Amino acid sequence: MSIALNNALTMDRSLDDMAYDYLGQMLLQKETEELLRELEKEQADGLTGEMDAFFAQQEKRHQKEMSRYFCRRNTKRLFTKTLPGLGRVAAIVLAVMIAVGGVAMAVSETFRVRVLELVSNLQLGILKYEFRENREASFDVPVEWIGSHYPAWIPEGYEITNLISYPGYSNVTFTDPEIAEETGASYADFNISEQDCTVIEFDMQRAEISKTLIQGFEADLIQISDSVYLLWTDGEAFFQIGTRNMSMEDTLRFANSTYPVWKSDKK
Amino acid sequence: MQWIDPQSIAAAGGMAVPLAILMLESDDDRQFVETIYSQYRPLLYKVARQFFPADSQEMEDAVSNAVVNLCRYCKTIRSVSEDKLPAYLVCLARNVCNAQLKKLARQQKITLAMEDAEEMEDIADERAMHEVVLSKHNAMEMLDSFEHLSKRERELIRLRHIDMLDYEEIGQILGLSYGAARTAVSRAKHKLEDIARKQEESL
Repeated sequence: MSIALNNALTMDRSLDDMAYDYLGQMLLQKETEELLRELEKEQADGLTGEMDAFFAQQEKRHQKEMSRYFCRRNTKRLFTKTLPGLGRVAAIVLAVMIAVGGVAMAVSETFRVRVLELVSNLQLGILKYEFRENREASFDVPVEWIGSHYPAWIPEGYEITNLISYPGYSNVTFTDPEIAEETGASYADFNISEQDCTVIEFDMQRAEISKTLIQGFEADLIQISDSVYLLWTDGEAFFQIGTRNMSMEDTLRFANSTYPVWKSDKK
Repeated sequence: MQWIDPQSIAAAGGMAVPLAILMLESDDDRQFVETIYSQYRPLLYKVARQFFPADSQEMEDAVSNAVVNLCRYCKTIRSVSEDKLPAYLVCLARNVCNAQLKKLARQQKITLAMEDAEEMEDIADERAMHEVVLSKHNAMEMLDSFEHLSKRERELIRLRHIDMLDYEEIGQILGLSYGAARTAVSRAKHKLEDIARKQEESL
């Protein structure tokens, strides 16, 4: 039954109307078929430029909406005060992990980000400077990632289980499948916001806050039981890292490994 | 609490689907609407374009709003047979466009004055039963004659008998009073009947 007929049942329509409604149904069917034929012909003749441009625009709009949504959702709601208490916070985190886990992506392709370093060498009274790639420090980034930075060091055994990357906001979550199977809650989460929609709230009832330095920038370090959050900015982007069941040493190493991603390196 | 499965983002060939689809709670519904959207979005575009040929922003809103309704009526749409689905979606898109037109009219952004406006007298809508009950045969003839109406007359009949709008709503969209809208629809129908009758006589 069509929307029109559904509506008709709830409306007070005269006999004349109802008779014409039948015509309306036939007309709708006929005009729809005409539209479908028209579309088919346009596609066959390659005349879909205007429509393609329209949908390209539409997709940009969707991406913006999604970016904004995930940015807010993954930050504000994740740590919101609306469910106070450590257990509940953990439950939310777990819920996110479950909801997004398994998803995310079949990260099939990566591109290599080279880390260059300045090496000096004094030999036979000659001081030589060389700018060269540190192959050990160079790292792979999923091609889907469009954030300006990415963590170069991932704890051993951790794999990407979620990746969301849109203009202005990107998030990647790594989990250790073995630990995750046992406890369901061991992960390292990296977020980068390059727009101003980010709001984060922490339930400070059982949280400890301190300061530390991440890549020379002052960062807030928040500990809530076995979860650690690091938040800092380099003046252009807002970085957030959250880990659970990971040592402080690994968490700091993970945070300090955040490198700029130069798109020109994309292969 | 509802969480979104970002898998949906990567679905539909990597196409960024509207947020409304991602907000659907059931994976099954989400997948269904995504499929419908990716398959029929050109059709939604076509309808929106008919209504707003020179306003891409309104077209974008129309397609987006159509998707919102697609999500809202997901359960109903599931029960529509495959052969009727395109027509259903056209109807859904038309409803959205009409709603936008009404909103625009309220905001006085558009004035869709009747191009060939004339003195409108209130014509009685009710006619004798034998005159108005259309057999399938008659409806087919009238369908063939429909193209001979003016653009405005065709739209009046569509608004009344495809979109099921009342005269007040038609009036809002076309910038007419209730009485004038009723008269205009009635005249368009009379004209359609005349054309159909003449065509039948000529055969």
